Amino acid sequence: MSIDLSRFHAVFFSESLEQLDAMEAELLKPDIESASAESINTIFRAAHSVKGGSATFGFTHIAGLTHVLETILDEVRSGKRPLDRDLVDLLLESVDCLRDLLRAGRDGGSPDETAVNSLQSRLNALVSGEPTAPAVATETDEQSGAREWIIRFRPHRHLLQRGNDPYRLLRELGDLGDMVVTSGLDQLPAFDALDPEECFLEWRIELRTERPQADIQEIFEWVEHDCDLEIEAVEASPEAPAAQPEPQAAPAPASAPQAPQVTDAGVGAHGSIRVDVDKIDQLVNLVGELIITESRLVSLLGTDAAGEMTAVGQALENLSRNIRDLQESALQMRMVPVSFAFHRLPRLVRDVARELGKEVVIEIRGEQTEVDKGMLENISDPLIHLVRNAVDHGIEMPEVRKQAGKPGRATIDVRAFHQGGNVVIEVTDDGKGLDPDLIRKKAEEKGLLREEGELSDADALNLIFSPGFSTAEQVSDISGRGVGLDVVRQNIQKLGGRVHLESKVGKGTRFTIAVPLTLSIIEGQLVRIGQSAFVVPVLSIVESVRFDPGQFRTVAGEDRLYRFRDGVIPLLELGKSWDLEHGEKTDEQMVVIVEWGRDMYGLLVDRLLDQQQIVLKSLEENFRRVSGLAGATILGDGAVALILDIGSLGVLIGDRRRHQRRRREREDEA
Amino acid sequence: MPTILAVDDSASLREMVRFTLSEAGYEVFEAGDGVEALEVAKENLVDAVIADVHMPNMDGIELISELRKLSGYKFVPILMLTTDSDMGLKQSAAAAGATGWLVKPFSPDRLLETVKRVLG
Repeated sequence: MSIDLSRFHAVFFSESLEQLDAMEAELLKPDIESASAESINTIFRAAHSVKGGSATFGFTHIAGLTHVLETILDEVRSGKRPLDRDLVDLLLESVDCLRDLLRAGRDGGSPDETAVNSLQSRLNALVSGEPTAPAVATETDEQSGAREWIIRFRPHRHLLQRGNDPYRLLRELGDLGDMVVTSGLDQLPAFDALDPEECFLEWRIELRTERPQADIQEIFEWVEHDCDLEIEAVEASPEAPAAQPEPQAAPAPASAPQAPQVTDAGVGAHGSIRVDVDKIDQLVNLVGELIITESRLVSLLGTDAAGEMTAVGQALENLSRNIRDLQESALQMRMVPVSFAFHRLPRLVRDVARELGKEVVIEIRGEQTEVDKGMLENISDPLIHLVRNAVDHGIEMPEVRKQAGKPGRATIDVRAFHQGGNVVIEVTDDGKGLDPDLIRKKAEEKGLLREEGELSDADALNLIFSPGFSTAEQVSDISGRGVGLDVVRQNIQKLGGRVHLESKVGKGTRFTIAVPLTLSIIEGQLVRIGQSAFVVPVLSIVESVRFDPGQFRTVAGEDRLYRFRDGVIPLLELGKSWDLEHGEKTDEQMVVIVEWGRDMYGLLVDRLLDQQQIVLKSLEENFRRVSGLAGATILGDGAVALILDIGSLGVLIGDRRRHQRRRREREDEA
Repeated sequence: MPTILAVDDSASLREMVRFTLSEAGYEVFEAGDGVEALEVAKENLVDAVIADVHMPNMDGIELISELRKLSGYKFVPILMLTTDSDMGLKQSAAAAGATGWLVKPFSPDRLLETVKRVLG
């Protein structure tokens, strides 16, 4: 039968990559040098399993590497070789290299042969010059004319109890050539003493075959310790007369199988199917439409149905409940555990810490916390940046830590949990903390400070989110490239989330990221401007205050400012700038203060309405992108409400201020 | 149609074994580790078992010992999947009651030949 092995490749690639992840996770455990037998077993099994598959499916590079790895790990497992830092490094390098090879195989790329060969030879060198070639099953086929053999085969009594059967062995011998079999009944007991589960017979076989002796031996290969066997060549032959008497092989020591292990690498075997994300999005969208129609129905029927429970009202209530459940289930399908974003962190921490000569362990909690897939993809990079930053800037060198009375080994704690409709991720380090005075000084040097008022400590800390700010004395190779904390904050805010910072000098720093569970539903504050309703994402709102004309001033005739707390913030009058027909001014006018980057600004609105869950509809898909708007939603009464994009409105304000400043400067020069 | 229980924690190898044997007309049950295999074996009395040695939860050797304790599996052929470096393991496997072994890597043809040795 010919079977195309390539049909199993996809499974092989994905399971091997999983095995490598498991191996890496074990290797990254903080006390790997004194690892438990269970840990080492997991690592060994991963290498073993990848080797088995790669050799079977013909991936020679991978088989070559894993073969040596398996040998090395077996030595570690039996205590013959210590698992020291250098070895862990080498093993991690092997994980990387194997991953590259697997991906190259999967995606059709070409692996870096030089790197593979270099690693292979370094691994080979480690196993005391043993030649290493993974066994490849080959059938030897040395023909040497027909010869005659006499075989004496006396099974031990227990032979049957291992699932072997003399009849099958004799039949196989018969397949090799012509044979004459004589049974020996000497050992056969009286009938009443005969135990049918034991074997009392013996045989003498004369066999004439062209096949080599190895083929005969192979037939008895499984029972050679369960029988007395002699194989003799009848004719003289150039080959040494091969006798294989193996009298009473010492019984193998009672097996001492490793204690059953519980692995936490649980590869979920419970039924699941892959569904295209687009299809799920379509479903979520449809549910969104349903919700809109439902609230429409409720408001049409509302006044009549509310008073007395009409049958229609009751049915509608049921429908509403079902729709909510449906919505939840649909959204649930897009949910994945945050562990997908977390699993790269231990390696990252280890590598960065090693490069800098720091000692850091990472503790991860709440990795099963679920979040929307799209959201996860977007928080992954900011998260990595924060963790990298913590190792690079937050944590001190071991000596410095010890002098400060702290353990030399620092801890970074990453924790995820749900809070309300949000996912919160905290990154906490026990490093040196941020010094507000130092930050003030630095900001002053860089000209980032505004004239207005003295900065509180909390505000000073927030300066590190300013573009172009870096507290590190020198730009390091690690965090000093490209993306700064300003970008991190903006990316989170674009998702409708926020970043919060706490720090204590000498104690450490905590960054808290909060993002909505999903991108398609947001908690929205409805506001009315003129005749139109708008939505402000609740997460962006700092506070809403009653509009007090006394706190409002206009600078240079255009820049509208509003006094808030100890300072002034820009005030955006969308009613004016977007030319929305204003109703008569009421004393209900409010200023909704929102946060963007480290800036705040106010939105002047005519009235605060309800807070509610808003199903986001894309403007781009249905109309076109509009600056200042993040999307639209349909309200219960069928009206469309536009969702304000706090980010792009903030940018708008920034541009306006810069523009005005330049103009003032030009006027001053003139 | 003879039935075979294939036990391996590697999905790709298990799939290869299952596919090859099914194509050859055997009915194949699958299990991902020893614990699972034991459950399947209790529910379906199979004609042969092929099991990997290194597996989480319960390894192949322990699986064999457990199977041999079941009255239905006293004489059922049990084949171990081993590698050349596992010489010591072959001994332990035999002591635990393994019938024979199949050395990895193996081709589908080799697998069928080996199974034929015990099932004919």
